[in-house]
Amino acid sequence: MKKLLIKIIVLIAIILINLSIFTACDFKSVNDHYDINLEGDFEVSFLISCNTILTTDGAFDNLSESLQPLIPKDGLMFAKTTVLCETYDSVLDMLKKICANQKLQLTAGSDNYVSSIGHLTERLYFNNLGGWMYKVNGKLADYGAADYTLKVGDNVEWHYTCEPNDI
Amino acid sequence: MSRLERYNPLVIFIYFMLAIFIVMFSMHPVIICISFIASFALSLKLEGVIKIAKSLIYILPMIIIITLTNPLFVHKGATELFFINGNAITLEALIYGLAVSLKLSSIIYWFRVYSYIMTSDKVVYLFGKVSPRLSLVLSMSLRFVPLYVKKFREADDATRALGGYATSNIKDKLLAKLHVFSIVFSIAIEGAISTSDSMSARGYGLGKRTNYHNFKWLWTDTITIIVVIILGVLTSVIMALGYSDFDYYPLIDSIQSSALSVVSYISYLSLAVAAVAVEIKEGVTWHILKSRI
Repeated sequence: MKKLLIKIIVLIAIILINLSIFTACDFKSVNDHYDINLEGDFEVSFLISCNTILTTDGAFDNLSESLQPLIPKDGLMFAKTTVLCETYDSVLDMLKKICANQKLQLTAGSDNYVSSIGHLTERLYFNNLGGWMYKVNGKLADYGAADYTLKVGDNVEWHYTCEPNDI
Repeated sequence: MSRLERYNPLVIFIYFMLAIFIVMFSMHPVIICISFIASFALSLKLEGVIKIAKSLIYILPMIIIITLTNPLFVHKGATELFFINGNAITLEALIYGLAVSLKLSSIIYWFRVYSYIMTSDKVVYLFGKVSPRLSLVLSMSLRFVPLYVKKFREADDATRALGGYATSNIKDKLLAKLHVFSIVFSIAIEGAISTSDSMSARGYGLGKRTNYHNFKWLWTDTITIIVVIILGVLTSVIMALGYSDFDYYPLIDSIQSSALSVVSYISYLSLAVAAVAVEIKEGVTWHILKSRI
């Protein structure tokens, strides 16, 4: 009798833990995820570029065959555009919104590190360097993308870097 | 006794190492499927349906868990199914997880068959000349495992008969088990001393050691080892040249059908299936011979 009781309590606890994990997750269908309107209080300009893949010798040929057609011919995943941004939005929040709006793939985990935009992941290039970096007003930022709060008129540029100091 | 067991241990060792290492270093779905089917069929043929059905009890959950876990941590891949907390669950990650789990379980089955065929006397025969001391230690420790399991059961049964476990208190039960452990431990230490005494009494370490083995090198062994090495090296060289590379991210590649890749599939297929084929052929021959009597 006592053993049965313990078993039932353990079973209920396991079910409760699973349910709480399940409810803590935010499930969205593909359409819902990409259904985002860019609304906000002030304007910033935004750009996402992977131009270095095309300009660095051998970088494009080094990509896998299934990835090559996904790289835009002009090297611009998101051409320079003025977008609306909400107060207290960080660069990462804005990037997430724009990628969802433009149906661009984006990997930014819970550590807020942007490892891939538009299927172009970090460390693809043969020297294992490479990855996404961002500039604000022409200067490489010293903060993580989630820590930089946007200000009125900021000019944000995301670049894929293949070699040191190439952006 | 199966036909595979009658080959020279060197042939068996090289065959299994080639079959296992090729699938270890490949992520190609064709190679993985061939390896899984061949190793599964071989262990089914050698160990029987019941044992393999029992092994599925942990293999199948492992396949399912790895397949479902990979997309939770890897968000690469172009075909998005749905999103959890803003991260994509992709079809590519799911298929990659399936491929990895099939590869893992096929390697488990290869090693099951390997340890079934390569008994400790064969291991000692193979490595005894390279390192006599290591092979002695290996064969002794391999013998000690079943020995001490047996001794533990005996001490356990004796404790139970004496009423050592006749209590509902978990702590007392654990203490009784601990006592059994200490009994087995002292048996082991005593055994080690008497073994070393016995060995020195019989003159261990006085001169060069010889060992007895009953394995012969037949002409079939020569032919088999040449064929196995040719097939294995052919597959590995084509793999090393990159003709059977396969990318899962961001989009799953189509399976290559260039001449060299097909050659590598066929050579690995013939390598992997060879063991099962030999076993089945032996069974059929035996059947025919028996029906003629």
